[in-house]
Amino acid sequence: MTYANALVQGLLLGGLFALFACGLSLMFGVMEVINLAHGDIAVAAAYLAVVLVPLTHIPAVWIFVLVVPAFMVGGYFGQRLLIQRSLDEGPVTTLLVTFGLSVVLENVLLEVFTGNDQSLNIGSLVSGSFSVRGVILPYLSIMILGAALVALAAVQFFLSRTKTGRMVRAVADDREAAQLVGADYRHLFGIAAALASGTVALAGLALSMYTTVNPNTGPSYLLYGFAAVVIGGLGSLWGTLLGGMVLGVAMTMGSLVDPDFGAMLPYLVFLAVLAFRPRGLFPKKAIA
Amino acid sequence: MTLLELDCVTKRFGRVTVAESLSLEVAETELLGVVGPNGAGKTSLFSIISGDLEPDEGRVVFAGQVINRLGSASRCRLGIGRTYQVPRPFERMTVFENVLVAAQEGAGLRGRASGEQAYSSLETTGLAADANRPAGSLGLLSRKRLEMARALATRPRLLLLDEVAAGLTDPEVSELVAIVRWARSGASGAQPVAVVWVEHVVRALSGTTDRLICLDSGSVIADGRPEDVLADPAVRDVFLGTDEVTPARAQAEGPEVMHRESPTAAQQHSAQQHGAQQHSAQSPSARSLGTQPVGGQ
Repeated sequence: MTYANALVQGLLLGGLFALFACGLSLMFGVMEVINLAHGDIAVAAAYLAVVLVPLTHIPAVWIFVLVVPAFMVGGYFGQRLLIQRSLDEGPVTTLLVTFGLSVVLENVLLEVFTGNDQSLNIGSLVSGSFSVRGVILPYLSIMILGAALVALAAVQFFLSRTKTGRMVRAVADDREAAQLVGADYRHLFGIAAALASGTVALAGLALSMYTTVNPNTGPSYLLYGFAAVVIGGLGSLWGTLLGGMVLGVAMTMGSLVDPDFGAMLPYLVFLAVLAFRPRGLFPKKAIA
Repeated sequence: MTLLELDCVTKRFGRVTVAESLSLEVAETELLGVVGPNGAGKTSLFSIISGDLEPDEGRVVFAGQVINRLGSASRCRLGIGRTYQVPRPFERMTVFENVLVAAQEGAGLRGRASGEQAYSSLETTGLAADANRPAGSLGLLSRKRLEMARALATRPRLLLLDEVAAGLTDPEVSELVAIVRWARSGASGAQPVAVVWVEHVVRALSGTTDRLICLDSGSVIADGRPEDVLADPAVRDVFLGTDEVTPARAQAEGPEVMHRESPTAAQQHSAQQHGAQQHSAQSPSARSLGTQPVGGQ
């Protein structure tokens, strides 16, 4: 029963990792940008929520209605004004710029909010659960997985069924050829960055409900995100979800042995996948 | 009426000049063929027109508007369509999606209209049956068709065709030529388009174009009726300079060295040269593309 419990908790945790990973996958798949500030954007979103909840009296569970759109707009302009300029200079510049952004975000948060842990207070929901045949199902974890499923499905739908989404895929496939059929790739890169920023903001909110965050939390979740992307297979959104679940299960199963092992096992799995299935467990060529 | 005008356009990369005070006019609905040896600046010419390259000097004017500083996406929406020499479909999308994207973004169509435009472009190019296949699974001929379908779906007023015949067999070339004619005639429902067609395989052009120019080192060295251009001593000279044939053989056979792949085409041209009065007898039908000699010896 302990194992069944750990398995289910791990699967539920997978949703959170998938939310972190989805934007990384998009940014790399569409414009070949490795965004090192990805985790810090999530943490920034959590801090924005911490500020907004007392100001607006919107319940913490619903604060995403404000935070996610704000981060989508921010993502769009961040891409157009910052990342696009570095893209024109080459891949190393892009890496440096996103690393710089990461450092700046962390230090601004540290300056404004100090290094204390923060979390979003969602009342009794944080500890509420029900059990099915002895397996404990926390409401919050189920909510987070549900949010991840909805977000991934929405991104998937956008990319495969809408006019703009198709253009994003065309630009990801061949930027020059896409321009020749009239696509403004800068705008479409902005759209992809908006999606990436929006989904990772959602991940940040979920994280700050689930546990605490501080200004230095970002990079470790950036790593989990990368691991989920690589395990799932680059460019596949549903693969990313499965990658997240593999990570989650590795974490909870490892914790059964020893809490420290629980932190380490996901990375061992990550290394094993890199060694034996370097294209991921569910490789797919296309984004989405 | 002039649709496209290049006015003293120069483009250099370091010491390499791909366009040297190049001036060129293309009239509306004209079909202009462009030939030249490797490295003559043919593809660069297209890049300058389509917006992939910005010229160092000179003006590019399309439909009365100077477009030097417009990006290729904006130029596409203005009505300049281009195909690549090596087809570049969006491999991870279906054939239909490839063309749909072009109809929506390039031609600015929405909803049903975009779907209909996409489908008619596929029909024009004979790809309708493959609409739902992933574009990455297509063979070379189908990729070339898709390249053309995608360009047509943007509803161009000017279509730039880059070495459509390269890598194809004679019957395949004839098929693509037929598609170009069909598209140009306006029979597909769209307005008639002007075509600039760069080709290394000259026989694909002869009999199809009204006018031919020959490029060398980024300059136009001959401009006129195809048979006159191919007979031009300067043009012959340029092709002699390549290592495609030995000078002795080239001298013996004249400008047809450009298409050593096809002895029949060579024969056709010699036939025309030897019987000058036969020029007007050249049939403009696709069937004459190097498959049979037109003029008698």
